[in-house]
Amino acid sequence: MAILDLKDVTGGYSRKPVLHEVSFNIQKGELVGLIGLNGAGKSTTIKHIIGLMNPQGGSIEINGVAFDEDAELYRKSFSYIPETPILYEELTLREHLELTAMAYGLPQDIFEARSAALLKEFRMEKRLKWYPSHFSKGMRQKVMIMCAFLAEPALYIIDEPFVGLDPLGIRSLLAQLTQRTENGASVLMSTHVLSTAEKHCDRIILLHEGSVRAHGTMDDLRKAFGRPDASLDDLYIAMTEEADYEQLT
Amino acid sequence: MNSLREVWGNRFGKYLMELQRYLQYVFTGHLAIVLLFSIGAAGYSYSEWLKDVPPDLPAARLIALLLAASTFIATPVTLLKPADAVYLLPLEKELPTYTSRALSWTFFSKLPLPIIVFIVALPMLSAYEIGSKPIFGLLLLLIIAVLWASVRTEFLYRKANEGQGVWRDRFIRFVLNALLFYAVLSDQWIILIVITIAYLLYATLWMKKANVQPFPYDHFIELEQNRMMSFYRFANYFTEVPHLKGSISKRSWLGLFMPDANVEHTDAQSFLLRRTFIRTDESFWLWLRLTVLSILGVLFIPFPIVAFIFIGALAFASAIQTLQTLRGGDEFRMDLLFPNTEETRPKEIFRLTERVQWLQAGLIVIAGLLMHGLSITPFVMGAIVLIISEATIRLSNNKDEE
Repeated sequence: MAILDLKDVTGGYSRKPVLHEVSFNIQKGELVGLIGLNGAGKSTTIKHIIGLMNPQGGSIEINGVAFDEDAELYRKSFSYIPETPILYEELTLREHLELTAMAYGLPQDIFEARSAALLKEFRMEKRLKWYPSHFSKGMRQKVMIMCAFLAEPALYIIDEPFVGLDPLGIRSLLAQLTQRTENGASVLMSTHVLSTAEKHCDRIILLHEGSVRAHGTMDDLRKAFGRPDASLDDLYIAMTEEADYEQLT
Repeated sequence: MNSLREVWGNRFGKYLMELQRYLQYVFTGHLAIVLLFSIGAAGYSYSEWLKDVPPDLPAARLIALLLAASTFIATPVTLLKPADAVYLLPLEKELPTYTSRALSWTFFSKLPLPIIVFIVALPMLSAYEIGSKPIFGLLLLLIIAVLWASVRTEFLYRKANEGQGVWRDRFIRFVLNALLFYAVLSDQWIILIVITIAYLLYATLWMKKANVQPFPYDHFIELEQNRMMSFYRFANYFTEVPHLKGSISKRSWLGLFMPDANVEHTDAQSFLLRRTFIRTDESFWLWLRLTVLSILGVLFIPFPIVAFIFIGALAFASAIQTLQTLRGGDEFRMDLLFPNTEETRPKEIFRLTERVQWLQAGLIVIAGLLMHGLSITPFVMGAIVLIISEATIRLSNNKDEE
């Protein structure tokens, strides 16, 4: 059974849909990249998956459960890292971690062990009593990442995770993602850093103007575009040029 | 340059609309009535006082100080925005077109206060037989000139020093302004000329220093943001202001109410809301202000029935305001994704509001015991706070569910 399964999802902010019959799935232990131009529909797809928007058509299931069937179970199955860090200005770093542990029902000893490991990995141990107003953008992003990883759900949904992170932070994030997928978790990652996506993602979904233009492994995509030696950058540009040509003709 | 003139014109139009939008809430309803009664009562007391003024009061000095106090703070209203630090940077040479209009508005917006002080001071000056009609005319002209000089000088000082040490400049101008007004009121023309020259030299000094400094966009933008934020905070007491970003204070002295959490046994929403209430200035100070007002009402209103109505009204206000601030706005928060947020958050908001209102009731009972001794009145007061608060919370709950 797929961990995340989207079937013919149509949706958007108004009656005019942004997404047109989007279908894809993510299997256990897969890291899947969601790639597309600005305005292609990546963030809208993610908002539908996390339950902030209702699809106008189609279905979304996480671990075989739709949001309408059991919202609590659906939400427990994933954690989300938004593109822009959203923190509570009135909570310290430790309180952010505690709040996440409470929300996802972690036992105290597991919370202590997991948070200590994450704080060490992201070099934030000395900032436990800091408030967000004292954090740089990269540190704010690290708080979001640690909170998401603390819960250890079946699925991670990550929107542009590398923005604002320093090289050590990016390395730590990639190490965490690799470790978690090896342990059976799945990841949907939206990014514009194509070289990293090419290197780390098991599969790529190319989204263009609200539709899935192509998906599969790098080899699948190379075959589909007839360019055996192309990088993801080359394929991405080829896809957009092809789409523009189709629009003109 | 036409472009910057138009930029100012557009911004000024929008600013006036914004002011009008919020001031209509501020000056309608209970504040208008309070102001009307206060001004009436103050006017009556002043006219009674003027009938028999104390002979040894240094009236000229007092009025000179009051006029100086009403003219020395001249914070420029620039309407600058954060993006100006980037987009207006290449236009720095043309910026005086913009700032001269900003300073004109600053001058006219601050002029009513010293004029009111002048008008109110006139009967007092007559009562003490100080001055004559030509002197009063000269004083009025001097008030206008001094305010204009204050506005210009404070702007130049801020430009030259990026706003550092502005109170030093204000103190110097306060002294100069007071001496100028006193010189006119006591017919000391040589002092007037000497101080005027000193003032001109002081202003020229900052003009020269300001001319060689680049325009400190960051300082003026921050100043403008703080000024607007103060206005929005004030307006927020009367209506909901969407621009308001809640400022945060640690308030570790209230750590007793925010104990270290055991994540297994603490509810996430309870943990979050308690900290939001205590550490967000808006919610915390609003509740505390209304509670202190209520206590003062118990201590100083001699008629119990009036005190009952007063504390009942404040209990309603603090319960409804606490509910509204805890509910928050429409923006995305991470707890919207928590597994059972729809069930637990509303319950915890009501529970916390109930608790703070119980605390208010307890404080009212203590104040009532101090005022009325061990009798039924303090407990009736506490019961009123509890009943009104509970009714407000439950009615608000039903309204939300509908």
